[in-house]
Amino acid sequence: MDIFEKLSILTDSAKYDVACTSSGCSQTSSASGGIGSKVSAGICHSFAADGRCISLLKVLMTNICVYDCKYCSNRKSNDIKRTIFLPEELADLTIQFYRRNYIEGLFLSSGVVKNPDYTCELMIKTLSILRYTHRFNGYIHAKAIPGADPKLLRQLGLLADRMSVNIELPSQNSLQLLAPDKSKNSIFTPMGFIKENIAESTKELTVYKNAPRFVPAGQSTQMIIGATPETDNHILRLSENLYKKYKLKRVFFSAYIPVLEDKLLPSLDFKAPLLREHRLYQADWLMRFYKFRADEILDDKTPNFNPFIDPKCNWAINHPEFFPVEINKASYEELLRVPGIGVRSAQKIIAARRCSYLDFGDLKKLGVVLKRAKYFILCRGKKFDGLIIEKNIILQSLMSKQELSMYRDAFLPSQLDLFKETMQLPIMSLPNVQSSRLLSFRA
Amino acid sequence: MNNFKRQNIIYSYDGTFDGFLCCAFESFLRKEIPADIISEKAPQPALLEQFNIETDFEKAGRVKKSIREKISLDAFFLLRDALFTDFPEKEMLMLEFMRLGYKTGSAITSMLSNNTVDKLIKAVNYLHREALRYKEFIRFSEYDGLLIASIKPRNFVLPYTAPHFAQRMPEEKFIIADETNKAVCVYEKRKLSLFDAKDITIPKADEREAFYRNLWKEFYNSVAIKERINPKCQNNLLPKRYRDRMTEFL
Repeated sequence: MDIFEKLSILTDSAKYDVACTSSGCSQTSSASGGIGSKVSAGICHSFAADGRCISLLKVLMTNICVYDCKYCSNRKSNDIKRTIFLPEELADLTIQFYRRNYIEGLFLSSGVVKNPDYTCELMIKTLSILRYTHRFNGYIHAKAIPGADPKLLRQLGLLADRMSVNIELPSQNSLQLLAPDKSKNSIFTPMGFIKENIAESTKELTVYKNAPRFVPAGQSTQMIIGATPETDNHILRLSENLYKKYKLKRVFFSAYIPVLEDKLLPSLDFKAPLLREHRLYQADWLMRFYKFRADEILDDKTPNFNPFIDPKCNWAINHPEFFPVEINKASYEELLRVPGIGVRSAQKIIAARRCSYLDFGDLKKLGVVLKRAKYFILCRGKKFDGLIIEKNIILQSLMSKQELSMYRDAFLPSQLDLFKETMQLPIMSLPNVQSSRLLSFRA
Repeated sequence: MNNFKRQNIIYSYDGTFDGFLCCAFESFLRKEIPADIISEKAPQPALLEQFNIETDFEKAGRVKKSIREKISLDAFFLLRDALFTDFPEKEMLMLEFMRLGYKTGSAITSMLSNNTVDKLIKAVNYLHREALRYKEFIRFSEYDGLLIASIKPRNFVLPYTAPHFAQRMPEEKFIIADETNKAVCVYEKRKLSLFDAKDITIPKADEREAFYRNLWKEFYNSVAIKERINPKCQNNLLPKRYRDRMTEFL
């Protein structure tokens, strides 16, 4: 099989892995030569037709697999073409792509060929060629193979910048049902192992500058959304725990796309819950950058996201007691809670108000989205000029064009009668709305 | 500082940062605000009286020192970068920024609600953003061990983009050609140098190069998920003006 076909097959099998980030650590090329550097913010080199960033050469070592996970297109019982990269071949390809500035590094995952240890050794061999023969300093993301010997995992971690173990499904029940060869244990054991090794390595590095670096860019994970019946609240709680307990850098969500027919899975005409995935990422950002807790975003009473409005606006309209916020006095944390103010604009407000009082006109220069923010803020004790506080209007300002047209489709005009009550009080009733149309947004 | 007179005179300088600082020097010395400051590199027919300002490194040095000491180092970097932006009448904006800076001191870089500061910082941020885009989207082609790329930026991004590749690939030889500003950056023997270039012709790819280009296209097309095709999102993140030089779109 020629390399074109190999690349095509092994990319196609790897494309459902979400993580393509190249961030988390920085390193300049060593004075002694070699090739490659890392930028802590990460660099995206292209964007595929689906709008997802291409930062790393994302491939599988092989799509041969001894497991039979129901949701996976590489499962043993699926009749597809199988192939495997030679370590030298893949290392050479990485370097040639890297020199042309196509990629930022390598993302290496794999099906399990023969057994986890053998697979892990193949990956280690590839990364060793890259690091030692080509003296490659670029970014490498390696997937930990569950069930591999800890010694091998350690070796892999010393060669890679980031490692990840995929949770795959958000609960043990789902896992048992759809991935009978994997268990909660086989996933959390390597995750814990990586966490401990990172902590140890960080400690060593503070004492010896040249101590070996174990996974310097941290670890991440991903789970499939929509293939199983877990609620958004459950998923959000789970990711909050992962951030806290396993010190993960990122938790990725992947909307389930039906690739295979199985009675345990959603049917093939199932539509990928992209909006739900989007809402989960919004909530994830709120937790990582906006200092929200999971229980502030969702709780047992409202276990799922509002499809029409983003979680931050949703929180704001349900917490009128928190607003309005005085721009010239509020703390950074308070500013972050205002819809229309992001991390950058909050920082700019803090800097700019040291020099002079800020007014609504100034806020626009600082990048605040007044369309949303004006309902929630005061400047020097004053409200925005000509502000009309009417729920329907506020709601419209808080929705994006897309959300608004979706909302109209759902509630106007044919179903006007049905939702008369909702129309009068759209804001307060939104989170509880349950209609057949609404249900189509979730699995 | 308020007794500056607006004069119907145009300063012209050689387009370098030192040249601009000499214009600033004259403006402060003569307590006048010129009608415009133009670079000799882009000569414009002017109806007004023109005053050619010779670049004097001693004067420029004095202005540099005073900006660093009386305003701040951040303000100095901002001014240095501003000259590479494509902002129309950037020199006048920079002069205004300096006048304001001498009045307010180091606080100027956080006066984000001031119009002059806002415009200058936004122009410089745009330059840096575009420089970052080119770190992402430049595509090199190999010709016998030499890597060549061409770009067509709006701002003058070479001084920010080229060093990134120099430290990333210290043992390579590469050339980045800037079509907009008619300049080339050459990296060889661990040294970066910048040249003017009138005509830029990029040679045709050989067989080996075509092989890797095709492999990359193969990867690019395979990695997209059909069920998630989203051209709007793609266009937002990868504006179309960059695509005419990107291997995957050729």
